[in-house]
Amino acid sequence: MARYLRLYAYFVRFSLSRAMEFRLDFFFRIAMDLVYYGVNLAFFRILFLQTPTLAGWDESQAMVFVGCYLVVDALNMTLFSNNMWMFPILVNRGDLDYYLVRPVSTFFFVTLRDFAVNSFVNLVFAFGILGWAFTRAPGEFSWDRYLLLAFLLPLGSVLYGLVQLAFLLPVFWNHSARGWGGVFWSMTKIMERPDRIFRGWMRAILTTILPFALMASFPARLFLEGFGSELLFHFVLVFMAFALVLALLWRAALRAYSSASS
Amino acid sequence: MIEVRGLSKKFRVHVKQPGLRGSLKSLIHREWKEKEALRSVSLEVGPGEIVGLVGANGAGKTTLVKALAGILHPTSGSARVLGHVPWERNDEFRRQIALIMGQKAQLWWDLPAADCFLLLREIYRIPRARFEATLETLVQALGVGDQLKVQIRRLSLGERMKMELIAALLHQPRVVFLDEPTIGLDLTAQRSIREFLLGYLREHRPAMILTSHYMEDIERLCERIVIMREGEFVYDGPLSRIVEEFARHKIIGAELSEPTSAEALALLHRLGEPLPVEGAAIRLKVRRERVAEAASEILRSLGVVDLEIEEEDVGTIIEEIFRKGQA
Amino acid sequence: MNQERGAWAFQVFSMELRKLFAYRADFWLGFSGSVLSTLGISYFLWASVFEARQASEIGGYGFHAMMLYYLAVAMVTKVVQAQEMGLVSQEIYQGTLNRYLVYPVPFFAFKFVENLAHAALFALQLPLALGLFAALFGLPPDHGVSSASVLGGVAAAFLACYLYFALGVLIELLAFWADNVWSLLVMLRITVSLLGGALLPLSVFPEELRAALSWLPFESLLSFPTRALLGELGPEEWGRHLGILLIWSFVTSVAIRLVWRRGLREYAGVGI
Repeated sequence: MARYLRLYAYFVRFSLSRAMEFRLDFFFRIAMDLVYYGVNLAFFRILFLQTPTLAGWDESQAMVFVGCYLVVDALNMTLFSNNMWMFPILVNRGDLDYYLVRPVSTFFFVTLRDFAVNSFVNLVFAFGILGWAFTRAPGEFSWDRYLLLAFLLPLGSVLYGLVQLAFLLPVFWNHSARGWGGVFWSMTKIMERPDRIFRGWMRAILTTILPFALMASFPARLFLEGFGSELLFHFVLVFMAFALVLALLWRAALRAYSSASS
Repeated sequence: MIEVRGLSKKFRVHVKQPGLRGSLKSLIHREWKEKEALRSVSLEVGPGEIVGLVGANGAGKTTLVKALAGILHPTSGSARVLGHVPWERNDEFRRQIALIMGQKAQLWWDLPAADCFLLLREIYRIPRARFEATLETLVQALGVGDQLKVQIRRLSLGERMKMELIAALLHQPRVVFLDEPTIGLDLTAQRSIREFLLGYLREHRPAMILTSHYMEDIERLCERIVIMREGEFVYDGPLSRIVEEFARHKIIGAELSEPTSAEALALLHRLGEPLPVEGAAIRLKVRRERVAEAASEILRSLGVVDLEIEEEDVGTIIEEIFRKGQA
Repeated sequence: MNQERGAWAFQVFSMELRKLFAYRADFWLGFSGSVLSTLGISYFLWASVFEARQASEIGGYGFHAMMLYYLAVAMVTKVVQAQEMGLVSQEIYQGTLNRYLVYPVPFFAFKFVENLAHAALFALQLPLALGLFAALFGLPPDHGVSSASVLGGVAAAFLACYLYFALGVLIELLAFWADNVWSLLVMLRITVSLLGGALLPLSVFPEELRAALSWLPFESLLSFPTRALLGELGPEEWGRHLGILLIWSFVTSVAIRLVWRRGLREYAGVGI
């Protein structure tokens, strides 16, 4: 464990020195995320001009939810997104070879190698938006709710990463991840909507096998509406199931990689 | 250290007809073709031994190397490297091997080599003192001390390859796989890498498997070679025996007192295959059993000043073997 | 001469289509995934808004018409954005620009024809998607969709496709100076999706915001072809949007020329 932390420290250091070298790109990316935040805030602002409530939330509560998914997104961008972007290329170019011969978990290497320093900076803004939303939301929130949120948001972010990776794994079989990767991107919008707008079987799917609707919504609900053991249990269960399935898929994928390439 | 028994590897490749129509067709239905990259090959390599793996593109060299490094799962057959089954890829195995691919970089493009080496120290859990000593020796041997702090992408191809070698050998692997380590390098860099490898081999006695397109690499480095053709071993044995076993020709070279006439040329064509040469001289490729006859005929009919009989060039013989299956 | 000109364009066009087909599953997945998820999310979002508001019409759209709008705008967005990313910057970074510079064909025309192949493929899906929607859910009452409106909408989308292409290229040309322009393209895309009316119909935007946007190209890029397609536009609005598209296309094209000339001087031909 300590060794892996030391390895991760190297990853962060390397990413930092690279970010400092491509400084213009670094600032562009920060600006990009800011535009994304602005568009998301504007979206809900305009939507609430048309309706007093959405999925049981008024505008100020919905903004807490927006803050939540921006934080989930920023965490994911910081830790995983560059790696996910590189991942299909790594597989197709055969660069995975070098990771496979190292006496370190290939999974660890592939998913965490690049630390996005620019998004780390954006985390400040995402937290800022969340903090601003806290002050406007009606009601008092006790410290244990903040604590729970601090625990659940990173979990939501990891879940996001796991789901994304699941969508990228077909690259091992088809040699292209553009299709499923594209589907994933379109579906990420689901995370940015309150889960309660989804009804019926669609809701069942989006909170289980494609758990986009719970990555940020469940943490936000647990925070805004108080502790509900059922909701928390649901969230943790789906998380663990996903981690397990992905571990199995990953094995199958490596097996396919080693059987197919020449 | 390396034992391979009846290793085979098949895989499927997708066949597509050219043109828009072919593309549309493959939208509905895909055709696959099976390709045998390795056909039941067996091999043993001991410590301090360096085996040169040669063959045309697609002969199965890289496939074999990848299978032994644990990247590829074979279709059938068995292999043990240092007592481990490579494709199980356990840490114990991976800590003791190294893989160097001339066509793929392992070092991080934007970082100086020194940084990458620190990461590798952590990955292979090399004790600090040993790490520093090994690094120092390797850097000295390859003469890249000044480039350690330079970003990889600012290095020349040769310097980069030297860094790749250091990266691969830092943990003092007992088995080393080198896939085209000198590809694209200029002659000086090729030579210095070859010399370095020889020295390293003498000192540390790892088992090495080397593939290369450059005959020079093979001739200088390997006492034993394996020639591959369409997934099979056509030859596995000492480099020196190649000539005895496969050379079907010798070369007769002669200096003449006057330039060759049309008549003389006709004679040469009757005796064997004249090779291009400048000035008043000839070089003739002759079947071994006819050498004596041809030499005396030449001495008799042409004004010979000096005559010598040589073996064919090893590289040429090997290349002919892997092209045609025999020389 | 003319025939030869047509010939290269056709080759490039057909080659690009072939590339799209080479990743068959990818293409259909990516395409249907994005349209279906846009539509699905909008369905649930607006169902809950219509319910909360207890309204039969929002921003001039009933629920049924609102869904048709989202389908149309999703399809139009595909046509307009077409290939979208890395049209020029990749060539600059990888130093492959030289290859095009020696072709006896104008570089941007070459790239635009490639882009058109993508747009055309998406445009072909458009009537199919509308037909499917009509067959499954019917068309909303007082809809203005006709074969003429669809044709007009597709034509408008192709005009908008040029402007979007030109804006993208202008940004990508910054690759001559900047290490990476990908993030700028993402900014363009998300800005256009909000201000162009892909996330929300512009009719629900506050009046002042709409007025502020009226001379910018965003509305004309997405909302205009979409509403043309749905038969919502009179000749006056057609004229205004065509004017905006033409003026902006012209200005952007001129800017591309200027930047391109300066950039080429910068370009060593080996990438950066």
